[in-house]
Amino acid sequence: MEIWTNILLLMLIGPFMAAIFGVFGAVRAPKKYILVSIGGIALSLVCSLGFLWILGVIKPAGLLVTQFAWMDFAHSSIPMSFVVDPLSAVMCFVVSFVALLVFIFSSGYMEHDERKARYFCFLSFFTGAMLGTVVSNSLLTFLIFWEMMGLASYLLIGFWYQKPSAAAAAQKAFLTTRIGDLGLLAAVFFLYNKTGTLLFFDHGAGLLEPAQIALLQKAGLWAGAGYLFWVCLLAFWGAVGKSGQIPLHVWLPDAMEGPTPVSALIHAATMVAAGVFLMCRLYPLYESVDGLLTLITWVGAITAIFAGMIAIAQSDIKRILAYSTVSQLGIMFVGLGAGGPAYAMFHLFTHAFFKSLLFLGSGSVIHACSGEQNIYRMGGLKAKMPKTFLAYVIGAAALAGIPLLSGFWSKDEILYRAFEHDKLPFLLLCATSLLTAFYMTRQVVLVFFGEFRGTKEVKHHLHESPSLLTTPLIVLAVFAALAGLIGTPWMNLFGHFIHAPEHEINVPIHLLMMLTGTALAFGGLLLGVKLYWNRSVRTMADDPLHKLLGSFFVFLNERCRVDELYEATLGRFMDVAARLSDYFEIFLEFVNRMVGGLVYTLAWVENKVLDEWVINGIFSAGCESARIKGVLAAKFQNGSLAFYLRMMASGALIAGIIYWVVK
Amino acid sequence: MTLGFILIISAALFCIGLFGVLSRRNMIVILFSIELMFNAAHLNLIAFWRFGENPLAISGLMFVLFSLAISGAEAAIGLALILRLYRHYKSVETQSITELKG
Amino acid sequence: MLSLIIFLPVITGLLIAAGGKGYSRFTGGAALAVSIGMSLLCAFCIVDFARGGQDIAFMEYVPWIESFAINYFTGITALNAVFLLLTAVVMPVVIGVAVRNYPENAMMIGLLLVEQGLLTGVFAMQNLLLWFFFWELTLVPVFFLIKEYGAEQRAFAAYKFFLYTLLGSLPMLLSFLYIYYQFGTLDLSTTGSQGFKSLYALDSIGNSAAPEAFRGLAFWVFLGIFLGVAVKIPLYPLHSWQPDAYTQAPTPVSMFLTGIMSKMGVYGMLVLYTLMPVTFGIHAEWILWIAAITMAVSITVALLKNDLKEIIAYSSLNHVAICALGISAMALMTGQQALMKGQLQTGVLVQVFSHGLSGALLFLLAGILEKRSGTRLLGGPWGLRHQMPVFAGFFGVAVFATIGLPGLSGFIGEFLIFKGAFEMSPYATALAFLGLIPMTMVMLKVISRVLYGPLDAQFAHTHDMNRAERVAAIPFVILIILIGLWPKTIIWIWNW
Repeated sequence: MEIWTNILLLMLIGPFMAAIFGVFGAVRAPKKYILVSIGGIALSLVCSLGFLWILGVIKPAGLLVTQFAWMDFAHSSIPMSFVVDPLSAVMCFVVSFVALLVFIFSSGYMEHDERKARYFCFLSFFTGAMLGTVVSNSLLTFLIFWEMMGLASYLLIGFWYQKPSAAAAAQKAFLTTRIGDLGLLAAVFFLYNKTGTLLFFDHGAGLLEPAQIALLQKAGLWAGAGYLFWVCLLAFWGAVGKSGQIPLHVWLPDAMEGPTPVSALIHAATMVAAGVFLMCRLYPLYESVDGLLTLITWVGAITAIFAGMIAIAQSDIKRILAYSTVSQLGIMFVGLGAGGPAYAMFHLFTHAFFKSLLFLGSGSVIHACSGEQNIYRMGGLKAKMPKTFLAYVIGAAALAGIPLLSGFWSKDEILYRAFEHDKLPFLLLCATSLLTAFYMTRQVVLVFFGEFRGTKEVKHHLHESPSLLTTPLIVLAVFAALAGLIGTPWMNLFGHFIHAPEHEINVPIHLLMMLTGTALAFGGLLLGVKLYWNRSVRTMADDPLHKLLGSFFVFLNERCRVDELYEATLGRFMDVAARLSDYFEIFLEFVNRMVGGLVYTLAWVENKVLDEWVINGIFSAGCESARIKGVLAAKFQNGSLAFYLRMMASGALIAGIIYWVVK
Repeated sequence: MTLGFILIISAALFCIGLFGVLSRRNMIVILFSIELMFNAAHLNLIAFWRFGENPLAISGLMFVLFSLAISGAEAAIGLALILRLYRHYKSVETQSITELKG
Repeated sequence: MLSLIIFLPVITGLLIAAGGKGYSRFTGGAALAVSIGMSLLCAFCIVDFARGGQDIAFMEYVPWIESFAINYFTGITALNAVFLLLTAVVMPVVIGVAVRNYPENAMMIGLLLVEQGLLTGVFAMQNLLLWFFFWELTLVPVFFLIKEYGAEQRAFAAYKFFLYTLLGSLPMLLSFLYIYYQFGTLDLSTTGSQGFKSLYALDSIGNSAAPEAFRGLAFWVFLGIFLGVAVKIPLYPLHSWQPDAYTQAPTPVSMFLTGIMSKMGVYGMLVLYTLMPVTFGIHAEWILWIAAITMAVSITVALLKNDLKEIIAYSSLNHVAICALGISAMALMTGQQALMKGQLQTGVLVQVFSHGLSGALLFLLAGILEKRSGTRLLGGPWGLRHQMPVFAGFFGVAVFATIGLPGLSGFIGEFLIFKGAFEMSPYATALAFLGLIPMTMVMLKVISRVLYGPLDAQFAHTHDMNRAERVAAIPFVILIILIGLWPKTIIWIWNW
């Protein structure tokens, strides 16, 4: 099947070549370049549709693998490998489709930005990396593209680098995801060491295939849990980082500093979904370990309710959506843990459409309001921006789970599985659904209904966005509304395609779930309407919820002060560690100087004691005595003739006496 | 006129000369005291020649004549030196010439 | 051939240093010509070696001082090929930077050229005593370079560097002398198969030439050589000279200090492993811990520093200690794990090359920044991305290569080394691995201070990198990206 390798290459080359062009001189002809990059994405979309066609129609049962050598050692090698199976084909489609729409939207949104060529360069790079992640067959290839996505995210969040908040947000995002990535990297090490392969599918010898899984299950224990447990936990930590689950969720809301289309693509539809995708990909491993799926479910559920609670108290239009994304990702994890990859993927699928719709819609709103992002200063936009309003409402309704829209079907499935599996997460999920409907209603009412509460100047400029912005919205709205229909319990095309295991459908329970879902959605809706309809909420103090919840509302508005907590604990810890290390350095330097001083002292001692005192002393003493003797001897030279004569005489006499004695 | 008698006389002469050398301040006196010591030695030599084994051998007399000549020469040199010294130091006292000392 | 590559730069360099005053363009051109010429020659030799597949290529063996077994024995082996290539790549750029920035200073250019020859000599020498000779000799030009052209504390740094490394290497000499005394030869063999009498795996059970006395003292011999190597890499706690030397040295000198000289220590460790694998294996566990502690502590200290060069110096500590980590892990592996050992060794060698490039590039860019801003200290956000986009791009590549982003060369070595080390000693490796977090923090902090934020007023008229600076930086950038995306290009050279 050589042709599909070519399609794969084309799909990846399109965006990457666009990115490379962008680096080398796209700045000179930005408009042409934008067309080139859109062309690259369109190419990817065509290729993904090709994959869907091949997998869906021509070769329905297979998965297709290709690999080529990357690092060759003497007796082993690490290859780069790609696979296109239904899972990746679906993701490819979602990614390239949403990306295309985001690109088109961006060409209008970023029209007046002087660095727009750079923007499209980074965006193409990101899209290429995301597509690469999705079709990877090797955990290493996956990791490489995954990190490239992190880099792209860093570049895009910090795109308006002159804003200090943007720079800080980019840094935070990269650092937090990197902390998660370390877990994934460690998992890669351990997997490779034990099994000697990093390929997912390798004709029976891949990681996800029964032989290796059996091997991993038999590997040793550590701290009471199996090898496979720890490996999977580490990989999950990586997903937690990338998908913004608790405790690594702090970067996602800050990532809203980037341009809105970036938020739509990266932080709603694709990159954050990569964590979910990773879990789905590695599901055979997770299935084989006890307890981990439960952990995933719980993490997802807690994140969902936590983020939902914070979302109801936010006042920035994008922040609400960001926390909503975190919350929905939590729901996806619950779906994975309680049900399986098919449920998580289905929700990912629908979520991509309505969340990107909502983000792009908010972008349209922000564009119309000349940059205003605070919903307390919006209002009554329904009349001014009908198309945006319509699309937005559809998106919000889909998110809230209004029946027959896409979100309803995917969430319903997850509720069903959660109910069957774990009751407590199910309850948390119900609460989350209620909150979701509530905060979306709150947002829609405050933004689109009532009186405009902003400044006169902004009001003056209010207008519907150009068609370049609204057309993608409409397209997405259609999908947000209808996409769910391929996954209804009675006609589950989606599940079929992904080879989800067949389940017995317990019809009464299922209907109960649908009713529950509907009730929750409408309940939240009504609550929101009741609190916010026809109210003029200009500041946080005016907010009815504030009156209801008091300081708890403020606490939620401050995002439960998680950032402050991290700063106080981890930040402090790093600070202390750094200081301790510095003290150690200073200590070592002190030791150095001591050694140096010791040597210097030794030298001084040797100089003073040996040289000066001992050797010089002896020498001087010797010389001194010689001198004194010389002085004595010199006394014989006193210049007196008489003395000399007397000496001569006595000498002669003594000599004569000696001669006479000896003789 | 025994040998002993002449020896006593030459010994006395020698001692007088020695005394002069050792205790006189005047350099000329020292000089001729040295001459006196010389002559005492000569007398000793003559005595031993005349009262010895071969009183008529001419070598004894030659010996003394040589010695006399040399002592005369030496006295001349000594006087010349004293004259020079006198010209420089304006004195013939031994105490006034003490520059060469250590 | 190797003799030419070693000695021509030395002689030319001495000539330039001694008499080059006043002919600045000529001396600069001559120096660059010799440097680039010798580097190309070296590169061709290495490629030839890689294609040929023998154990040792371009061997020159001239018996010299018979009574002490000091023979002039050079050659390119699988062990030193990477190091030679690194020298060939980095030194011409260093000399180019010096010629550009210090045009009137013939002494500096001459000494750098001498250093190129000496560094090539260190890696090429296969006779232990001559190797030691070159090892110590390389310190001399550096001493003078730091002392003459360094920053405010140059005299202190120069003396500290010189005395510390000189004295640290003395135990090595003692060990070598003892080895000669026991074995009667000082010629190395990297694979144990040489025509003449040579040293290899001195303490292994199968080595019949090893006298009993040697086995008893094997630990002390090992310790002697290890101390010399540990001062050079450097490893805690013998590293204090490094931050001072790297910070106070002028930019070209810092570039090759971090790029090549630190790798001398790694090379020494590899030679030590070849000489005494059994003893190394016995002690590898604590050596591994030392390397891990070095990695963790060094980068944590950097969190507090504000001097850009100091930060790079500490990150360099981290990146070279990882090679020590890898080699220690290799020593712990048994014969059954030959596959893993091969991968680990590949990782070490790739990391050597990669960090040589990225460390040198970082110092190059730091030097450019220092020239533009007048200080080494990182002030508030400077927002230079606006004014100097090319610089921002290169700086980004260098920083992210240091962080270890996949797709750039820093990842390959780290990946392979950590993988192998986790297998052998998980706790120590975990400590070292966690050091990646402060590394990311520090490097991101650097980037955000330098590139992000509103444009600082003092840089309103700063120029972006001029052509010479770009030419200097581009080879590094290209190689970093190339090796990151396609590691085969470098692994092919030794092909373990």
